[in-house]
Amino acid sequence: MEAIKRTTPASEAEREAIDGLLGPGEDHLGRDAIAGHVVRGRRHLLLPCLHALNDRIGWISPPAIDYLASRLGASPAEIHAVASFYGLFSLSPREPVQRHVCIDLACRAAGGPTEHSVDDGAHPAPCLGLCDRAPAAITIGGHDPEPDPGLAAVDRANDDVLLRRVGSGDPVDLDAYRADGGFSALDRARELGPEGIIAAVEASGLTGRGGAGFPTARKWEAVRTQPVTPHHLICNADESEPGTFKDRTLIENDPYALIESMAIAALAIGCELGRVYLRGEYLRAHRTLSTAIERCRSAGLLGSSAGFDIEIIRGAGAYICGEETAIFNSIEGYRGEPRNKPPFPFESGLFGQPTAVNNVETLMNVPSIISEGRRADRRLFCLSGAVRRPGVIEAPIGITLGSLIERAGGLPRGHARWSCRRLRRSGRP
Amino acid sequence: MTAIDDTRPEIATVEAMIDGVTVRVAEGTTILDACGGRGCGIPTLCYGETITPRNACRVCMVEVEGSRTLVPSCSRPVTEGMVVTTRSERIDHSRRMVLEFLGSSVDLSLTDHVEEWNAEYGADPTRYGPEAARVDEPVRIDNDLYVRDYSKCILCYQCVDACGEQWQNSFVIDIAGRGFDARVSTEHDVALPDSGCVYCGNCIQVCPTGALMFTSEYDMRQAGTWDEARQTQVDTVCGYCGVGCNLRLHVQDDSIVKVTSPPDSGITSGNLCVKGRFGFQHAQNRPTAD
Repeated sequence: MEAIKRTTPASEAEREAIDGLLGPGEDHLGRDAIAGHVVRGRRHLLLPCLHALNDRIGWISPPAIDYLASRLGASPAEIHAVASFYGLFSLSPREPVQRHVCIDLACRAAGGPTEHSVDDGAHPAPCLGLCDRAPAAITIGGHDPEPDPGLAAVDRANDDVLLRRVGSGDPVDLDAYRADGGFSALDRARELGPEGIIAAVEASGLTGRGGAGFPTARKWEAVRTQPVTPHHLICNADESEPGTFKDRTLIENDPYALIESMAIAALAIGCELGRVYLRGEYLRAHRTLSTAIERCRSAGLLGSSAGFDIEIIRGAGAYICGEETAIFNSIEGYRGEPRNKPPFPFESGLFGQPTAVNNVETLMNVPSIISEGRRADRRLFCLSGAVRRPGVIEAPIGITLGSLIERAGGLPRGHARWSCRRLRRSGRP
Repeated sequence: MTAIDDTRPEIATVEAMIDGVTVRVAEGTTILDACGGRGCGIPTLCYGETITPRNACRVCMVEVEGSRTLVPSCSRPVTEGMVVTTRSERIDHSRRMVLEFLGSSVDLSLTDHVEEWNAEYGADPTRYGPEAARVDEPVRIDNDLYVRDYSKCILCYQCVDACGEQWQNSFVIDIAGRGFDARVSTEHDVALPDSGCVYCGNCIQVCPTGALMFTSEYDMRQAGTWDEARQTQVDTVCGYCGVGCNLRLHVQDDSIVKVTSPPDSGITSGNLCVKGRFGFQHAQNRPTAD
């Protein structure tokens, strides 16, 4: 490809942000055949590099794109194409700290702004998954989000399984998690072995909670039996559906359960590195999960000694990246556009290798299935808008809308109560 | 004497049923090719003879028994026992919708067959009204050789693939932005002379909608003198080097107005370099009468 020399080189800060992930720049790399393969083999670091630039500089400049292109053995047009794909990145100058204000349903209903009435300098954002605390806004860049005591906006019940630990103490306290029976399901899973795990999951009737409802055991079995290695596990945490915030609630409040669930899934399908594709706007979940992963590594529960590790991939504001094949492209450093199926992910997914993609809630069902032989007959529901206690509710599959609204405290004074009564009377799921 | 073993490896074939007719084709053949390829009656927009289709346009969708969704016939290989329907109410509805969406948002006036398909499928691109979102932007004229009119672009990826790994390996353009703001773009959207473009024009060759056009054609269209009925096509061989690329000269009023290359040429597969594509002016330098 033709190398175009532009007059302005990348700034020192931009080069540092990129070199921090790719190592010090070496000009000869990419100039001979072998090194070219090495350079191009790092394309999956493109998205993290773009994040590094955005976090540090606030935007992605043409010289930074040119520099990235030279470091990754790609053309500037390709890098520009990827950088311009994501909503959280800017290709024009702006401050490193950005405020994103939700203009979606629940926040609008709670008095939030419209696309045209957001404050100057703030970005109008699609649903931020903070509907339980509407109207919502987030700040990206410049700081790490602090833990928030108001996090666990859930309606707890005594027989909760998925939400059992939500709101009960410090979510990243590993000792507390272990004292509560944490990682015993993983021990049991090791005894069962891959086929035993899959049999237990099959008996539980667990189906995908991301929306498609595909039987989880069948997906795992299909990946497990693929001759091509390595096998990949991706936890789809790109929760972006307006009004949905259950996956965020789970990760922020019970990160170790997700880690344990992924470790069991990895055991079942034969995978050594699991990836969590986490929505870019979920900064607090990112911090919580990173801390939990770090602590597990220190305790030898993750990492080379454990035979399994987890990596978080930050999304960057693209609803479509919740689609499983779009996730592959996004992780690989390409535009997050869906791929053709077939081939299906179980045979040709991430990097063209066998891959299981599971939603957060799906995975969180796994520990109780393995340790207690539970049936997967419960689901999470997100209630927001005109209810007294917005939040996540765990309930048996088949609960009526009326009962859900009742558990969320019913409608606030002044709202049409008849609709609630009607829903209850109809009594149908 | 040694007998020469001239038995060739047998080509694996698959049998399928297409519109009630049993067909047997080589393994890997797409549904569209099994139906006869371009011009077989299945409409195609993003499908080009020399580019592996990305099935971006979704106008060639057909029904396959057992498949929940319609499938793109240009990309889905025929498999053993496949039962395909290429025309049904569901398919027609889908094609009508695609034609209306594309036709309401971009200018398809130079795209082959669109008018007849609109009639065939009852598509009315104006039905979303004058307020319908439309890619409306000025023609980009930033060099002497070709123009880019993205108000005609259906984002079919053919130019991107011709510029990139499928033919030229220049990687000068890609789709940037997302959704309605997506455009074929150079890096940082710089003008072509500031990009790595080598002006091979292989993107123009594959563009199905006239979004990419020779400046000579564009100027004549603007002046109202472009008239394909008066044009002849002459196939010849490029004389610039020894490769022997096939040229197809489009001639109007004794002047070359455009150069393409036959897509089925075994030498070029429709591709040329800047000299073959654009270096035709010398051929028509006539002695001035003095």
